[in-house]
Amino acid sequence: MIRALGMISTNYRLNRSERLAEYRPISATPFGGRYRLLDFSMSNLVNAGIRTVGVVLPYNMRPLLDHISAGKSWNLDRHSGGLYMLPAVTPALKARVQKFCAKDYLANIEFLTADDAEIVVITDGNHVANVDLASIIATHEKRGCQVTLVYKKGLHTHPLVEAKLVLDETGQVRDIRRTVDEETSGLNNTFADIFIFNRELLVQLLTTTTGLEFKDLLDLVRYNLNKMVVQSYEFTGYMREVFTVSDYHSVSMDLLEPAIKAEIFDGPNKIITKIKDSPPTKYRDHAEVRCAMISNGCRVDGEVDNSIIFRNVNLKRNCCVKNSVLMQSCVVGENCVLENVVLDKGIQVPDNTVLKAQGETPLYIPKGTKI
Amino acid sequence: MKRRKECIAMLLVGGQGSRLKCLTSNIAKPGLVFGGKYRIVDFCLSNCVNSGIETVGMLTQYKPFLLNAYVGVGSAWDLDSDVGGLHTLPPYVGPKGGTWYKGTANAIYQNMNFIDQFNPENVLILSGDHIYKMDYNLMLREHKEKDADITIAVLDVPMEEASRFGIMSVDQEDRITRFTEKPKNPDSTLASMGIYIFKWEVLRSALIVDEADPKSENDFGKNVIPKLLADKNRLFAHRFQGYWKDVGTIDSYYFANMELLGDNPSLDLYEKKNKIISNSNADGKPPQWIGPHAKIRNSIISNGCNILGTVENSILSPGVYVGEGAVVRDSILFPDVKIERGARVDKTIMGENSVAGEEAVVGIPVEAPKEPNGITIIENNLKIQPGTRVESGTECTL
Repeated sequence: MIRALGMISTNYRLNRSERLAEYRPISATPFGGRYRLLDFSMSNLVNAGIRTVGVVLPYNMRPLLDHISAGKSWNLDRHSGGLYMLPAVTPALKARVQKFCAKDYLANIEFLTADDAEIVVITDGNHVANVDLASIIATHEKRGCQVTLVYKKGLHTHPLVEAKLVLDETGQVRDIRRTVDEETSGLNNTFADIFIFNRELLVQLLTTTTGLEFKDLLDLVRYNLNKMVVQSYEFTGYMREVFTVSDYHSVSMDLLEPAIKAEIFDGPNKIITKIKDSPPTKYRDHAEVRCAMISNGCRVDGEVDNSIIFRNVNLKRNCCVKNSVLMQSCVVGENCVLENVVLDKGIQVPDNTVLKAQGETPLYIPKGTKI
Repeated sequence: MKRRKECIAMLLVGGQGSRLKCLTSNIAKPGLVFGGKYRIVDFCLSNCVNSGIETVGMLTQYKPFLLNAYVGVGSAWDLDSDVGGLHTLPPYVGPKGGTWYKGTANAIYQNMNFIDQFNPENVLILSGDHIYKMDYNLMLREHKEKDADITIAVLDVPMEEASRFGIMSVDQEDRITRFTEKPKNPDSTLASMGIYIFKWEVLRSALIVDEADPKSENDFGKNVIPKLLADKNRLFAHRFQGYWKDVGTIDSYYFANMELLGDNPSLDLYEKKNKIISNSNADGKPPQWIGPHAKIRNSIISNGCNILGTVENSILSPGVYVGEGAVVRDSILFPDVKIERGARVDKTIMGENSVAGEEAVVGIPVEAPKEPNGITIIENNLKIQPGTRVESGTECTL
C-alpha cells in the first residue's frame, strides 16, 4: 500500500497556433486509437497503487471533464480519497508555458494538507510513457531524500518547456537549466516532468516562498537546491512528449513499432481509458490491412497501411489510408486516398477525395472541418 | 414508506447448457462468449437497462464463479445502484436447511423474500441464454393495458420447428387459450420465448401452490403456466418481431456467430440505439495491432488482438494472438487464444486461453466427421501441442 498522493498539471499550453490544442487542452487530445494523452499519467499513478489523484484543470476543461468524469475507469470513484478536480488560479495564457504553476498548487493547498500521505507525485498530461512509479517512489524512500526528479537521457521536447538537470557523481541534482533561458546544448539529462516530493516539504515550500506569481514548482526546487537533498532518477524506457502536430504524428507512428507497442501496452501495468462499449471491428472483403493499430467499432473495407485508426471509424470500399491517424468516428469515402494526414474527430471525407502531405509536416484537419 | 417498483427483472442464469459440451465445462451457458467481445448474458442485461429496468436479480447455480466475476455488481450496465441494482442470488440455506434450485419456478419461489423487499407491481422473468434485442417496456405497456395477469412474449416460428418450443393458441385479442410445452402435433406457430411478465401477487400465490404440489417439476412452462391458464387467469401473448436466437447447441451457436459477418446481419450490433453492453472495464486491452504480413478478410476482430498471420471468415475475441504464417478460417476464437506460428485452424471453436501450437493443424476435413457439420471444439485452457493434427468434428478436452 503506497501512501502517496498524485497530482497532474494540465493548465498549460503553447502558442495557440499549435492547432492540435486549439479546441481542447493538449492533455485531452485523443491518442493511440482509444486513449487521451492524459491517460498515461493517470494510469501510471493508479498503477503505482496511488488512490488519491488531483487534476489541476485548464480553462478549457470541458473535454477533460467529459473524459475523466468521476474517475470510474481508473477506479478513482472512491469514498475515501479518489479523484479531485482542482481549479487553477489563472488560465494558461498563450505565452505561458509553465507546466507546474506554483500559484495553482498554493490555491489547492488543502488537497495537500488534508491527507497525511508522506509523498506527493506530481506529473503533467502530455507525455507518452508507461512509467513504473512504484519503483521510483521506493527508491525515493530508500534514499531518504526530499525531492526526486525523474529524467530521460536524450529526450527532445519543445524548447519552450525543456529543462535539463546537472547531476553530480552521486546522482544528486546540482543545477536545473531551462533551454529557453540558458545554454543547455551540452546537457543530456532532460527533466521528464515527474516530481516526487515529501508532502510536508512541498507544503512548506509553497506556503513560505514569497512572490509565487510567475514561479513554477521546478523553480522552487531550483532556488532551494542548496537547502535540501534533491535526487535524480533515470527513466530508461520509451518516453516522448506531444505538443505539435508533427510530434503527434511521429509519436503515433512509434506505436506501430512492435517493441514500443509491447512496452507501453502489453506489460502488467495497463494504460486505462474511458470505456465506450463499442462493438468489435468488422473487416469486409476488400480489407487490406498492414502495420496498423485499429480500435473497436470500426468498419474496414479498404487499404490501411502504417496507420492508427480510432473507434467507430468507417473506411469504405477501396479507400487507401497510409501513414495517417484517423480519430474517432471519421468516415472515409470510397476510392479516397489519404497519406500523412491527421483527421480530428468526426471528419467525413467524401468519395474519391485525395488528401496527401509530405512526411515531415502531416496535414491536420481540425474537428468540424467540412471537406 | 417505500416506493413501489413498477417492474423488476429476475434473470435465470443457472443453466449448464450441456449440449454445448466442453465449451461450458467451467462457465454457465449465459457466460459463454458471443460475437467476439460479448457474453450471452450481456443481451438480457443490456435489454433490461435499455428498457429502464433498474432492478435485476440474477439467479446463479451451475459454475457461477466466472459469471459472477464478469457481471460483478453490474457496474458495466450502470446497475451498481442503490435504487434497485443488480443482485446475485445463489441457492442458500436457512434455519431449516436448503435445497438447490429444483426448477425455474422453484428458483423464483426460493427468492420470494428478495422480490417482496421491492414490493413490485410486476415481475419480469428472463432466461439469460438467448440472443436478442427487445424493449421490455413495450411488453409491459401491453401487459398493463390489457390488465393481464401474465404476458408471455411469443415469436412466430416455422411450423416444422414448432415442436421444439412451448406453443400457444390465442383468440382475436391475443388472449391465450391453450399452452402446450413441446407439442408433437402443434396447432399454432406462436412459440414462447421464455420471457414472462407476471403480476407479482398472481405469481406469488401461484408459486406457493406449485411448491405444495409434490408432482410438480417446478417449471414455468411445464407446470406454473398451464395451471394458471386452467384456473382462468388472464394470460396474453405479446408478439415480438425481430432477431431472437436460442444458441443451445454447438451448431446453432456456431452459425449464430457466423451470421454476424457480412454486410447486413440480422442482428445489428453497430446501431447507436439499444446498444449491447459488455463488461470491458477490467481487461484494459489496447486497440488491435495488425502486423506487416497480416491478411484479414470478412472477419470480426476485438481489441487487444495481435494479428501477424491470416484471418478469414472468423470471429476473434479480445486478446487473441495469431502468429506469423498462421491461418485461421471459419473459426471462433475466444478471449486470449493463441495461434502460434504456422498453425492452421479451420471451422473450429477454440475455448478461452487455449493454444494451437506451432505448425499444428486443427479441423482437417474428413469424410464423416463426428459432428455432422464438422465443427471442431477445443476446451478452455487446452494446449494443442506443436505439429499435432486434429480431425474436423473432434471435441478436444483437457
